[in-house]
Amino acid sequence: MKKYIYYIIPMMLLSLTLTSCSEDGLSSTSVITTDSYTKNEFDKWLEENYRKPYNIDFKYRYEEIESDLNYYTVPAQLEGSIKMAHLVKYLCIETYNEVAGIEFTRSYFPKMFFLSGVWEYENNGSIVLGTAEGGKKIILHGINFLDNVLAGSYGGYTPTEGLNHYFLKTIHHEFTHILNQTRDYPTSFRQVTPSSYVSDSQFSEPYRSAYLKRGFVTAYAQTNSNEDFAEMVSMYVTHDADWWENLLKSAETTWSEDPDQAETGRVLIEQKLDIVREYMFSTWNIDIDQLRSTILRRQSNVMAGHVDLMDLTVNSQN
Amino acid sequence: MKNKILAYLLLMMPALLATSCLKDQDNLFEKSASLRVSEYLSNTKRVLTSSEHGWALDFFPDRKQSYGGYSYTLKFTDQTVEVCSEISNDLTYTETSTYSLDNEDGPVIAFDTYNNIFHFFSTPSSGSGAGGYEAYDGDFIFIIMDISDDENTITLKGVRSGNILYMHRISESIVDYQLRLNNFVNNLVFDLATAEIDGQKYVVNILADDRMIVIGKPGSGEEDIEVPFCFDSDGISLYKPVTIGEKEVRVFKYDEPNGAFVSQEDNSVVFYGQLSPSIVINNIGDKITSGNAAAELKYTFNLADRFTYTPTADWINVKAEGNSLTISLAANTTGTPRSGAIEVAGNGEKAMISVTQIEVADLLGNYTVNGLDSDNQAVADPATITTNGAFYTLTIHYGSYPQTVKMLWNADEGRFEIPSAQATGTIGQYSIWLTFLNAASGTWTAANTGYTAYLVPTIASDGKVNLLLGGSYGTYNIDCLGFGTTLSGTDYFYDYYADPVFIKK
Repeated sequence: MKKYIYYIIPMMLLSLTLTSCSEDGLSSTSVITTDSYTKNEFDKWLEENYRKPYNIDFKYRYEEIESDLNYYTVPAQLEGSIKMAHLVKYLCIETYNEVAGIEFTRSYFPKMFFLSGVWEYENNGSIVLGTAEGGKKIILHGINFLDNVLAGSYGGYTPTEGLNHYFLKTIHHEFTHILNQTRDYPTSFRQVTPSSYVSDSQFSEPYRSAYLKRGFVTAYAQTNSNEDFAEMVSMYVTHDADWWENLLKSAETTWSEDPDQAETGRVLIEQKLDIVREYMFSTWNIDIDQLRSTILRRQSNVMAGHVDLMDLTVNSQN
Repeated sequence: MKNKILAYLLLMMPALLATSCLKDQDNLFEKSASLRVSEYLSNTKRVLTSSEHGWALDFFPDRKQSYGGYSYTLKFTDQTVEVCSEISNDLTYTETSTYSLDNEDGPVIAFDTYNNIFHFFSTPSSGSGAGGYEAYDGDFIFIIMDISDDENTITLKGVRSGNILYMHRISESIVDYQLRLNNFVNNLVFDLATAEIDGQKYVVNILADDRMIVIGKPGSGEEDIEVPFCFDSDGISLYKPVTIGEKEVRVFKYDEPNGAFVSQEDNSVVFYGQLSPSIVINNIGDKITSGNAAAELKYTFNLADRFTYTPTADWINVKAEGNSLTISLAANTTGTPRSGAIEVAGNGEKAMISVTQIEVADLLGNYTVNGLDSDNQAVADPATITTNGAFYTLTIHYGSYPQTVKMLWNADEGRFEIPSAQATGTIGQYSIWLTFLNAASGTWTAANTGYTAYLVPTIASDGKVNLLLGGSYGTYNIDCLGFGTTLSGTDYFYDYYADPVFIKK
């Protein structure tokens, strides 16, 4: 046994000395190179308004690697991108700053936005409005239609409805996912309509039309409880009290096709809302009614033209 | 014994490890890979922005190139790219957007914010088929494959389609290039060409609308070569090189005096255009009118002598030499107007040019004007032409409202000239003005002055003198002579004679 040790020791010494034989000095220049373009005024504005305060990368320039290669998409217009950057900042980021404090926004708001010019068109004629990946990155499509949306001449929506439907609701929805993933919502939420989730059939009949009676605020909410929760929050905070009451009125009946459904849609939605309200307040210290009134006030400021969506003045904080 | 073998084996291990250290591992390149790519990209940017006027990109969308090629011209600055293309209705329209140079699948250039011109072929929409959810399968991100040593040509590869595209430095503005290209395309009068290479005859079909060239070898039984092409400002570029005979060719320049496309790779490969007689008609018209005196009419246009001219009367003589065409007419001593024709032949087609010898005095008198009115009903109204010595008056009896039209005689061209918007009389309470129309397009000169229509004399087969309407406004031919009035505001009334023929009694 001792013999082995004798043999092994010189061998180890030898191999130890050998490992250092190549002289790989560290180069002082980094192999990581950045800046594939010269920064313009908008890039500088983004640096001051997104990157520095929130560490958010607002990618308005098309990068193939960020796009979904299953679709044919195109870049976003520069002007629409500038407007969208102001809208997201004013209507989402600063809303959460106001309601929950800037540290909350910094900690939880998505860290990357990627814009594209048109919707993602499916071969069956349907379109994808926005997508989110892992609570970190939100893709907003259709930026080239923003001017028409804001003018109320797209898809039959008013400017405010259109802005929410096509763009902002997605952000509130995805942000809710992030909050849920950070701290889960009460299991009681899953128990309100436990057997009514239909996963991929949400846009097929009868579910496509009957979602209100079934106790859901949108057809998509029927997918699963996570989507249901995110739809509850995003629909509630982007619409005023009258709109919400009208929605509940349309849900004041049970669903005839499901004899087991004892409660009306209205009752189910209100039960869910109570849980959502309690979760948001106790977990995140956010009063969703205050969140809603803040969003609505800011929306009306935008629609009244009080927010200059093209202003690229940089207020240097240095 | 076993112990020893094991010990030797253990002793050998460091030697095995040591071998990798003995190699001299010098870096193949002096700099790191990313640094080299970064230098390549900044060099690319230097080359792109170095062209004072910019670049012409022969752009082929679609991985099968099924739409052919379209010319784009691009002017790069440090931050932006300005784009112009023949696909725009207004060729002087340019749009500016941004670009970036990055290292993805190699050095890549991306047109990374939306540009209505540049992203036309890549913009999808709801639906299927061309321009549907797969757009036109056009690229806007390209791998930079090569920059030529003279820095005049950049080779790109579309990331999506894989198409190889060429971009070359231009020496005129991006708009001027497109205007010149458009002019070249519009003046390209033939779509059929022939070539003879190493004694072998080829037939070349240039399908300008499809941007496709079909090269056939008649009688050989060999399959036709089909290749998409793109127009340049002074020629055509094929999508990829093709081999004709033994020769590989791709870029052709147009040799205008010879009406031929000459390969830039091998000037023995020439496609000679087969010339249609419409070239002659476009240059000299299809009606020639002259007085009774003997005359020699001279015309100059490219390729004039490439046609066959056959006069139908012995008093007409035609001589073609190079770019000049001379038509000689003997004096008309018959006492009455006379007409004949010249048959023009080329490319297996024929066209007729009528030749009339007539004096303006022969045109005075009574006529019947035949034509269709605005309700598409045939009408035949009486008309007269009189003169006061200085100008001529055409009176048309429009129902019970005679309208008088003032005309001038152009002796050189042998025709009456009629200015637009002149007052011609009244219909009931309304004052009437003269207007010209193009029936097919539904456009008219309204009450605008500055347009001129012609009445051109010819002699019909029955020997009668006929006056035919001609002239143009904008890109439209005048084919209707109309009377208009303003009823109120923008509410107009008009009626007209479509394709009128004034037949002399």
